[in-house]
Formats: sequence, C-alpha cells, structure tokens
Amino acid sequence: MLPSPRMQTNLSELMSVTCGAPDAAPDSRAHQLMLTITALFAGLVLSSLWGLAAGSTSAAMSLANAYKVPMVILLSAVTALPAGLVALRLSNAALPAHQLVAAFATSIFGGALVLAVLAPLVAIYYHTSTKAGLPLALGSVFVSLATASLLFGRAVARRVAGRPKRGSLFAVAVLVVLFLTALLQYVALASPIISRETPFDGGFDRVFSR
Amino acid sequence: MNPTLWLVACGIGLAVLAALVLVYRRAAARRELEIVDELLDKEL
Repeated sequence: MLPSPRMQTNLSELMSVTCGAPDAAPDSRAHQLMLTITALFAGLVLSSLWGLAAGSTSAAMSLANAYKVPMVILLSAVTALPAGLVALRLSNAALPAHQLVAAFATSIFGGALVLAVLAPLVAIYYHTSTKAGLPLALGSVFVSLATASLLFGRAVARRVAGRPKRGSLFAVAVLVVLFLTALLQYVALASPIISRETPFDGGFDRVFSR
Repeated sequence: MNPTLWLVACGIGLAVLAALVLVYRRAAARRELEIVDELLDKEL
C-alpha cells in the first residue's frame, strides 16, 4: 500500500527540512504543524523497524518491540518537552515555542531514520555473531541519539540565525538531557527489548551502580 | 518491568497519538483552505 500523494509530498518536504535545505521552510503555521506531526509519526514507524530487527530472535519479542520501541521514544519526548518549553521561555530565547517543537520532531525523525537504516545490519549480526550482535544493537542506538542531537542543535541554530542563540541552545540542551534521562527509565520499564541482558534493563539504578 | 505502570504509560502514549491525529486533521483542513484562498487570490 503506497502513501497518499499528500503524504508523499509531506515526506519529501520532511526530508528537505531534516537535511536543512534553505528553501524548505513551511509557508504557514498549519503547514508547519502538519510537517511536525508527520515527522513524529514517520519517526515512530521507522523506529518500529529497528524494534523488529532488535527482537528478531523470537517472533513474540519482535512483534512486541514493533510497538514498544516507538512507545518508548514517544513517551520520552512527551516527558521532556514541557521542561524544554519552560527552559525556552525562562531563558527569554529568540526562538518561538512551535519552532522548537518542530525542530525536536524533525530530529526524532532523523535519529529514527538512522535506526531504521542500521536495522538490517543489527538483525544479521544478531543472528550470526555472538560477539558483535549486542554491541552493534546498542551502538546503533547511540549513533542514532548522537545524530538526532546534532540535527536538533543544527535545526535550532538555523532557525535563530542572526539573533542571539544562547537561550535557544540552552533549551535544546535541557530537552536533550531530559529526553535521555526519561529514555533510560522507559527502556527499563519496557524491557526486555533485546533478548540478552544489558545494564539498561535495570534503568538508572543499574547503569550507575558501578 | 512493572506491567501496570507500563500499561498506564502506553495508555498515555496512545492518548497522545490520538490527539496528534486530530490536530493533524484540523491542520490539514486549514491548509487546504489556505491553498484555496491563495488560488482564488491569483485568479482575481
């Protein structure tokens, strides 16, 4: 089933916005809202592909991951967003709140895109290598998080070009830190996501117990 | 894993997704009106 022409246009615009194309800015608030929500939904679908690959040692775990991974990302974003918006307002930043949300959603899309393109590699190593399977699965998550954070910073910096950036980048830092903090606990809550035990299955307490 | 807490979290997540679908549909309707307005302005 192919996406509708409107959805295809949205996805194409979304890729341009994520890549930072200068002429890709939406021309109205309604258009921007549509792109923001499309970015989030597309990101969730892409992360679901990674979930299928990471849990592919058993059919039940794979299917459970198809909803667990997107849910973990969505809940972490929902948990972090209010603090980011408050930080943006308190730092008297030049960036409007809806622009911060739009940049956040496109960076989630970018990070999930990285997860999705690494998913086949994760799946094949998971089934064929006992040494590299787990590090590759975890490594793909870290690469995706780093990509998303960089994309977020770049998107916000571009949106405030020519104006003071400090407040806006402070809000970005708050949002990224809180997203990661929430992600750690939601991963523990949703575990097992990967068939082998990792320190992240125990959340904050186990990661920082050493 | 705490199943009850996970179920509550999933419920919140699903509610957020449903709200986003509604917001998207409203934005899409508004966008169509904007496009029609632009076309009418060009025609006149």
